[in-house]
Amino acid sequence: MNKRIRKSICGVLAACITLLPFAQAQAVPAPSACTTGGVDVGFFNGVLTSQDAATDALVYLRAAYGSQTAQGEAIKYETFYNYSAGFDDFVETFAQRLKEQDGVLDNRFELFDQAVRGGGSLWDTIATAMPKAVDIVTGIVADFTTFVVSKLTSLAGNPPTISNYTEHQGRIDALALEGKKMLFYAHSQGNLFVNQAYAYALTKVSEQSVKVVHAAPASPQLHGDYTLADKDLVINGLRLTGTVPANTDTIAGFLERAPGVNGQKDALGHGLLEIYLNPTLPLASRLKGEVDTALTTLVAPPATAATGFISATMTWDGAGDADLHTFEPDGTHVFYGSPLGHSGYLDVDNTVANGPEHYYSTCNASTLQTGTYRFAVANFARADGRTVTLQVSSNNDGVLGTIKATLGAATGSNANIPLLSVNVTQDATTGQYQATIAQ
Amino acid sequence: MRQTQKRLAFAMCGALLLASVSACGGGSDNPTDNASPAALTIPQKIAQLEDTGSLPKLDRSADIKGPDANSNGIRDDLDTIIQNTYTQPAQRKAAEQYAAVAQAQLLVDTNDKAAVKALSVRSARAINCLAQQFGTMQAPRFSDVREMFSSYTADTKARKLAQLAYSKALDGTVVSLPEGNTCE
Repeated sequence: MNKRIRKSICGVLAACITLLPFAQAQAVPAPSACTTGGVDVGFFNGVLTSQDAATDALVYLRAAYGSQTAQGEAIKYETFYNYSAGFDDFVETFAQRLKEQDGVLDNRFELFDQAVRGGGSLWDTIATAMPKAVDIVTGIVADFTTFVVSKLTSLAGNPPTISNYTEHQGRIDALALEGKKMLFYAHSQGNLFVNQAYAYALTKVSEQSVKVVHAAPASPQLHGDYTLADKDLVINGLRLTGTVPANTDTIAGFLERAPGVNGQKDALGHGLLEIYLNPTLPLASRLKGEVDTALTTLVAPPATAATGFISATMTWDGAGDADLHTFEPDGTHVFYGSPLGHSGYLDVDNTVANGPEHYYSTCNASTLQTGTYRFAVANFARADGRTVTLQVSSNNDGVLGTIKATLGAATGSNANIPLLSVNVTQDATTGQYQATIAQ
Repeated sequence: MRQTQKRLAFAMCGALLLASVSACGGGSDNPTDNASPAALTIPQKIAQLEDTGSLPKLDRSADIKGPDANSNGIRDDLDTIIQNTYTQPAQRKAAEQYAAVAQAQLLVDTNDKAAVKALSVRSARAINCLAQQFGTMQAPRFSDVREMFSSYTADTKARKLAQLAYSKALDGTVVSLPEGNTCE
């Protein structure tokens, strides 16, 4: 039988059964029941932010904007992370500052995070024994301001491209496919990255389904509402050499400002938690209003795939028919010729070009298998030399892994290129499921 | 007269000198007397702040890992801080969960993208657990605890650079904030 005909039959079958696992999930509440639909808030972090500090920000964003929209839709928060190149250089600058005042504080790098904000409890304690520690902090803040402005200026002159961020791109692909609304929330340097991501998202969904909110925009290019404090020293530094949007809010000076949502102050007036989410500053209300408006006006894109406990999305870079093959823990082989497995389902199969192909596992605890799910690819036909990208995510932990592979000659239904494997386990005490990438 | 004044001046100076020596601890016959804080050097004062617990007393050995006698993945000095600071078992376990992740970040092979990615998921689960146990409103907030152990773990230049290498390896990734109970 012709593969396209077989795939059409599979599609009809899919329409009949695709909702079955979720209907079961509603009838039998599972320990790790999936959330379907809803909004994905993608946070594009600011300059010199560690990945863990970005996760801190997600927690505070969730506290500020909630886990559900006013309409009761689930909101998922995730960081589209970017690292600031050259951070290592500032470490050397910091090390030299610690050698000042006879080197009493030499190599005390636990002071780093507080120092770049202009001080903190550790520095206050040290100042009781060493009053001139204040001078060191002052020097570090001055160095840091110069460094950050320099890095942002450089990045603005040579903006990032989405092609450098495969996992960001893959995540947007999956969100669009699964019918999620997208709200991109960018802070500082993240504004340079969000512009690329937004442009890419618009190739997948309409403007109604993806919105952007900008905080402390380091770029004049805006795609939604923005908020900018007048005493943001970083953006003011950028303004001296380039173009940035006009200030929207006046804030008190450093000494008069109350600590931010994290209990910390920021001498630079630029921190997301210290300034832009600071509930004592009016600009936090402005930002919340902008987020609320975006959440209210977003329209879900049409879902062409379901969200599973684990979901796998595969794309490729041109014409041809590449096939995603999934091997479930009990050995069941799920692919275009047999799209319904014992735990999951291949609900999207592309035979022409670019993909996507999409597999998802049930959220129903009675049918979700524990064990290893293996994902592989076959060049069914006409996809020689194509680069495929597979991204696997779990409903609760988000993206577990993204991998690329180059296809060889056509192998039909023989999935000869292994991609990723995922282990699904169940906690004996809580009954909760967890998926982790197999290493 | 002038001679008397001179002697008085010398006497007063001598007394002041003795007093000052005494104040420094040098005039005492008892070698166990504590030194007066006013006369301590700055390094001595900082050491005193560490001894009294006002500042953390951290391991600064040259290697990245540092001592971990019980092999629980947490450096011994940080283990001690956790045991001495958090009396509620759930908070102590949450602090341990994150401290172990923070330590693993320094030691992971940053060329192993799958390992780095898996660690980032573990890290998000640990931070979510801290948020559950400490909250966002009252000090110590979850972020105070998270930042403290992150900072203490990266307490030397070499460790800070290792920590940054981990973040750099995550450039371009997507990390989710999980929902529900993610405490181990």
